[in-house]
Amino acid sequence: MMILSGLCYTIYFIILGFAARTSYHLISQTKLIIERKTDFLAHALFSGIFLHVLMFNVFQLLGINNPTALVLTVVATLFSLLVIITHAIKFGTQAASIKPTRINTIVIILVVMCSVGIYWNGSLLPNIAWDSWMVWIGKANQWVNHGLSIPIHGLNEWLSNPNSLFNVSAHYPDGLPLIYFLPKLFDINDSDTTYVLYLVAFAMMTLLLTSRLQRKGASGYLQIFMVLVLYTTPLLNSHLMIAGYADIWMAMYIVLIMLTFVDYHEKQDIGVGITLICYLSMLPMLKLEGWVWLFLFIITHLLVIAANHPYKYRIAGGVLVVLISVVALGGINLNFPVGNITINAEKIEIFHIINAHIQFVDITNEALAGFIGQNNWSILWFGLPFLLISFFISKHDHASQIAHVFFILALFCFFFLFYFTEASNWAKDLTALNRVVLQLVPCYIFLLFKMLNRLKGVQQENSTNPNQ
Amino acid sequence: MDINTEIIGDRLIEYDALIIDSLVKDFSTNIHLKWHVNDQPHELLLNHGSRSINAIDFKTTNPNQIQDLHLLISSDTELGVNSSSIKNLTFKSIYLDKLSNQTLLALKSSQWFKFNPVEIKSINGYSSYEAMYLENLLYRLMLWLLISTTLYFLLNIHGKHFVISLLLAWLIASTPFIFNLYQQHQQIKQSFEQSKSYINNIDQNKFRLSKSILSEIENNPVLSNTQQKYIIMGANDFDSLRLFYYLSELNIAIAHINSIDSSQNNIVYIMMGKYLSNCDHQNDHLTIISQNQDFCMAVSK
Repeated sequence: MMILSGLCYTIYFIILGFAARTSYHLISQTKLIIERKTDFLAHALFSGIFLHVLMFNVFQLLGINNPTALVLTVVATLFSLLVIITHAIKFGTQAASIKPTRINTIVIILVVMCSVGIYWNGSLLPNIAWDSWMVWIGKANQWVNHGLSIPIHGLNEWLSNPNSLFNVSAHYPDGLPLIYFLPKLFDINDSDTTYVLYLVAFAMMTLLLTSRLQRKGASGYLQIFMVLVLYTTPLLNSHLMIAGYADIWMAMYIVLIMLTFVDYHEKQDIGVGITLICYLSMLPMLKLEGWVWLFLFIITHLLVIAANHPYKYRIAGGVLVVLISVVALGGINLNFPVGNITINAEKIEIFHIINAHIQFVDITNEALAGFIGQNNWSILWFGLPFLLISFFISKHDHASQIAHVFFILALFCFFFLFYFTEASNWAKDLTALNRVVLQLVPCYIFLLFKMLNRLKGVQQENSTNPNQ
Repeated sequence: MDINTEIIGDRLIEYDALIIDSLVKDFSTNIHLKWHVNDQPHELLLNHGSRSINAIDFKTTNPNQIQDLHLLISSDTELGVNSSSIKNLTFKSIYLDKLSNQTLLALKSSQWFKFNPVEIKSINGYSSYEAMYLENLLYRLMLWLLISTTLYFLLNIHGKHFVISLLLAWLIASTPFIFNLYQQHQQIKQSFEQSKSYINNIDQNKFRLSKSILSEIENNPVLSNTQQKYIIMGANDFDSLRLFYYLSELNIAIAHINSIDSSQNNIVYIMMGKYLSNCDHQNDHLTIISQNQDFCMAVSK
């Protein structure tokens, strides 16, 4: 029953995402190309999750009550099915002709086996993930009991506002609570249902990554190796077993954004651009640090455009002049009605999103314990120096530069936040230090395997596009 | 279980291992070796496994400084609702020994395949900072990888062979991890064999308490107002948060006693644990509307 409800919930997201993607092709009168089933289904699932969160955010904004929200969701699902059927009638189904190769089949079987292995442990556990029952399921429970549109506040606002609810983490975004909310409306065990969704989403992401690796000409054994690494990396594994935290969702969306960014730079397609914006918007809907990753993706995009611009040296010169001026003036201090932007030696404040005092705290011991002492997790980090060197010594196309620049910026940002801001508290108590790194790990593993695929004699001999 | 150090005398310091043969116990039962050195307490959690080999560092070279050496058998109550009572524990023999008397394979496998239980904090990492028992295996594997990498660049070996050496290193490091997942499965099965409805005993008690509170609210005419707000007096700890979780059908919050604003007259304060004392004596700010041994409810005067 638990597996069935979880799979039905996954299919619901896929229908939403599938319909959104086919709508684009219906509007633009273009043919939907389901190049690879795993690619298409993965994107449909993750787009569907975004659309679900967006739809329920709109319900909240319009003050819609729970029964109406349920009816509208059913209507949206039926409408999505109608769009898919209309498209299938108009353009036919091309995907049916695609047959998986032997390696594809092995990879899919391996992914299913690994998922079942994790489910074997995780399904026996109650929901012990603290953030999950306290914040994500906690908020969903409150909405089910009091109404989706009632605002949730911290203590002081709750006391002064008679028509509001309280949560200790009221400031956390609503993305994940909204995913837990819908099964509750149907009176289905939300925790168990969403657990299956966690596993299926991770499996989809894994298949998407292996498919990309295959497209780069990777041999079967390298694809299988990557699947093994993804499923036996301790923290990824424990976040799937003790499901309920948002970090694994952040990790999945970050790697999807990285791949979609690469696609966008390769194809310059508007549809891919829209998908990219959807995924980017999902980051701050999942966790507060999503804003940091969002800023980093924007900076990455600008940096890559600037680096490939004919006037790149002038742009670099201009940026340097601005930076020197900012340093000479003692920082930036701009006040707006919506918040302040302050960047100086003591403080970084960006509207109400980031407000951090700068102070050096030595977290080296905790970082080493986190990175080196954690079983095969440490083997993973052995590849980091080589990966970083390869970014600089190998020639990359624009699309690959995006992935590399983002990863370097993200690492820099991670160390800055933990060494120089109050985030060091969560490094000292060994709570968030590894979990933030976890958000980058699928992205890192993919880049690592992309680097291994470039080694002499590793690629398949009949590879069509070996150097991307 | 006290260990008589007087019989062993000065030889105690010569021993650096505690061995338990044919140990059978469930995963929620822990055995600690405990002792004091200069009034400083020390402890060692003993390994699971039928032959439990445990390296001891007494933290002193003077045997006379080792006081109160004993074994403590305790139940881990963090997960599972029935783990409060100690279950059966059997062993064939238990003795102090020297690590040099053990075979290298027995020693290393005992260390590397040490059971690492599922805990609430498992979400933050695989092993704790104090228990990085795979460290020496990992350093050896790192050295292997460094040699493989050097060979790849210097001797120009085939990339495929290099990848295979990486795969082998990964599989070796993953073996204890996968074995531990199997052991964790046994642990989870034992802890939640009857029901997985509650995280632990505290959680189950909070569920029962929430039912009592809801029943009291339903039956108390003073509390019939559905617009009523409630505050659980307490910190944001497991106890208060789980009660909050079970009472989500109420418009409820958690706050510390200092946060009470006497001007808020539409709020019912729920007190439990150490906060119950607020209801025992005459309180200038609160009017008690319901009280029993588990909780009390009050409103501002």
